[in-house]
Amino acid sequence: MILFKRSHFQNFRMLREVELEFSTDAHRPLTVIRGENASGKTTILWAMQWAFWGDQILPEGGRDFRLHPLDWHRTDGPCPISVQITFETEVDEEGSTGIARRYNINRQCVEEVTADGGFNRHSNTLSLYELTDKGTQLKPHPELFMSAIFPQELREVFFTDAARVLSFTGSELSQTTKRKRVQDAIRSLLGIDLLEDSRDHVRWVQTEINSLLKESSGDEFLKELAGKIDRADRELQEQTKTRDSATEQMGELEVMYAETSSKLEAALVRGDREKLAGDLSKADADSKRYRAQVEDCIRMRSDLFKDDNLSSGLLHRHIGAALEKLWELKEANQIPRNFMPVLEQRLEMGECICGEKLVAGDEHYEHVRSLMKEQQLADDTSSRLSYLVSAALKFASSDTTGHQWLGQLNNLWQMQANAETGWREAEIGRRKLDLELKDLPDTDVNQLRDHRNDLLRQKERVLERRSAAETSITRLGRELTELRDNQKNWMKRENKYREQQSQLEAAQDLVSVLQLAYETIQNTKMKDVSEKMNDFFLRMIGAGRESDMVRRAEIGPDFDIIVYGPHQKLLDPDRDLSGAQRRSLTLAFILAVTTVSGVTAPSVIDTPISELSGAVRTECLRIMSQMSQQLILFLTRADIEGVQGVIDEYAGKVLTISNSTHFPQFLVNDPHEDKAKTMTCTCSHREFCGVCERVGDDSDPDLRRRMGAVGARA
Amino acid sequence: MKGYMPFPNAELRIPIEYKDKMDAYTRTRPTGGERPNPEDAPFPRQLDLWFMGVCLGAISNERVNLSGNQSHKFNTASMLENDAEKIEILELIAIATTGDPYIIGDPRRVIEIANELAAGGLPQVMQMIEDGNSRNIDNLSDKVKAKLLEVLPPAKPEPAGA
Repeated sequence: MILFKRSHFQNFRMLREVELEFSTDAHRPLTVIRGENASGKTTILWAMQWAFWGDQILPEGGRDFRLHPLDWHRTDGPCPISVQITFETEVDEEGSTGIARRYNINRQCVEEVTADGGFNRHSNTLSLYELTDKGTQLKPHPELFMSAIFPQELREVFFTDAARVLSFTGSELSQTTKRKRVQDAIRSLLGIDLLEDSRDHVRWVQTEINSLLKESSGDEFLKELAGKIDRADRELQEQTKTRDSATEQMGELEVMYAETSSKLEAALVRGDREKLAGDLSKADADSKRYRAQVEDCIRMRSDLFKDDNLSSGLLHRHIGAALEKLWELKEANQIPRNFMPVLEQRLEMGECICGEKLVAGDEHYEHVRSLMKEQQLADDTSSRLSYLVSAALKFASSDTTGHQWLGQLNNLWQMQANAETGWREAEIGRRKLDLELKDLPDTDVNQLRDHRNDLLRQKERVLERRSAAETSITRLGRELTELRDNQKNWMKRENKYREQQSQLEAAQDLVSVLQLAYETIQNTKMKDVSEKMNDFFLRMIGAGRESDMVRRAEIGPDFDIIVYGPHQKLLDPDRDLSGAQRRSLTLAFILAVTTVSGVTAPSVIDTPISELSGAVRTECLRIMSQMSQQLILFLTRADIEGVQGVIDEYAGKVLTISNSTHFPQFLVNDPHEDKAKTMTCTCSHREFCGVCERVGDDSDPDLRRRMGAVGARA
Repeated sequence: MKGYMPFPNAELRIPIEYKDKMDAYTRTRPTGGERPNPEDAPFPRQLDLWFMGVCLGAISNERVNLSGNQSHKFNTASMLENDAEKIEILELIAIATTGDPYIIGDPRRVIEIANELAAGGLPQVMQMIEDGNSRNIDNLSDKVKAKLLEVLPPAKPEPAGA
């Protein structure tokens, strides 16, 4: 059991001088640190983790992450930074003692602000003291002790901030990462790693005894047996390694295969690039074809303006009037009129129709010749007029030709409208496809398919390797059992190897015990964690009933957190669970793994319920408070709203932190501080005082002024 | 009557103020050059625009005397050589306009009457093209259609069963 008692921070960012006390009351395990945004909650979380694990847990290993207050000037000199945490545990350097001991861990360093505004960090030290009634005792090798009590794999279990509250279920994490974190947390808290190490160590001892027997025995048969056992044992170790590595590889390949498949599916849903490009090209051709049709229609419509059907239609009244005139001439037999043949005949005969002789050169002859010339012209006009009668008659149906022209115009309009509709649709399609193609990530579907097939082949090969290794392991296990039985029987018969026989038997028994313990934990404890997590989770979200979408959650054999819906349908936590449900699932997992492991460690969580609302928020807080040995929560006023009752019931300590620079915008009273700092006061979740009073607190019906409080300025 | 060309050297003229618009509203022009889009330049040839002017001038009985200085010769009537029907229509218009069938015996006069009618009708042609919110060809199509429906007798009903 580990309990945090108090912590003290000096010059860690804005925690210039802050002391916090935590509740150690078993019935009221909850400590609430109330603070608004930017008041120092997350800084406290960082500071406590830094105390345990040092710079390595800071962003980028702490290289550019300053620890000193932002307004610490170079002229202020070197800045001493320290974080002390006093905690209680039953564990000492030798292991669990069952006796509570108090320790104080103190991590210190010094930072010096450089001329260019940067800083140098040095003198990083970690000290561990045991606090006894007789005084304090400095303990050697604090790192070793701390790594045993607070293994870094459990950092997410001990300390969780708003961002990391999804450490085990966040949708942005890869399946492998989540699986690894879940696995690490379980293995570490349930001691599986320790058991595995112990089992392997005893096996090694067994092998060593056998080797000694092989080298020292004068008995050839026993030597031969020991040699065979040695070879089989080594081969078994090799095959076990091969199988484990194949299993691990298989897991990675499965994740890669699933990821590639989902990428491929997504790419196919969004569109096959080649197919899209083909569709785009077709849409482009359609668009061009329709556009050409539109242009043809316009050109043909333009050509209609030279069509004589139009002019004859427009002029049909004039043509009618002209025809009337021509018809009058025709009726009067003035057209056609042709005197030329008669005059030509008379000239040839040399006698006029009047009987007078026509002799070339005389006056009468020349007169007839002149008449012939005039008549020639009159006959041409007459002939043309005669022709125009038929032309006018042709145009007389000009009302019909006019309507024909209108018909042609309407047809062309209709054709153009159809072509324009086709063009518009093709263009919309083309633009849509163009956008889809542009939006399509540069994913080559064929390449993804090839990659997936390649992964499938790799999986098959790894599976073959694993199967072969498993077959060998089974065979070698039988061989070893047989060889060891032979060895045991032979040694019994010879009666002179009693000591070695006892050693081997003891080692074998130990391996069996450890193996059994290992299997028990794997099979039983994992099941317990899974069931507890399910219980907590369903209670937190108020689900599990027949009508609910979430029915059950469990930890699968591959350390996946699996969630089921109705009819055992698998839900994808990334897609099918809300953010609040995923947060609840993480909290349920942390609670379950700590509860089952019996490692009663504190949980320090920054704003865990801010994304939750209503009953889920209340239930989450209630279950966490009930199931935790020690629960330290950082909550804002908004987080507290609606859960005051639960805090009343479970909180052994509540205190408030404020940021001095929030005056006057948010804080009502001037803190008279010339530096930015986190201030503390002992105001509970239902109180405010001269230090922490914020604008609006006075009129908040859920809050009351703490009478007589001056406010402890830290 | 193909090959009939009574006025080979007669000049086709328009009022000089319509010269630019005639260029703008025709797709092809004797001098060549860029071919404008038919949507903007709805008439295939200058002759067609002129002929539309003749028709509209005739319908509205608008004739404008063109003195040499104020007119622009855009072509000669020889371009009608292969367009027998236009020659026939011009002659029929001249007969209808003057009431004298023998006017066709004076081809220069026939063209002169046509030029005068064209000058009278061109303002209407320009108005048809330019008035409206659509492209030139659509404005013109709409107005010509309306004019045709105005002057034509109603269409004969389609024979039953047609």
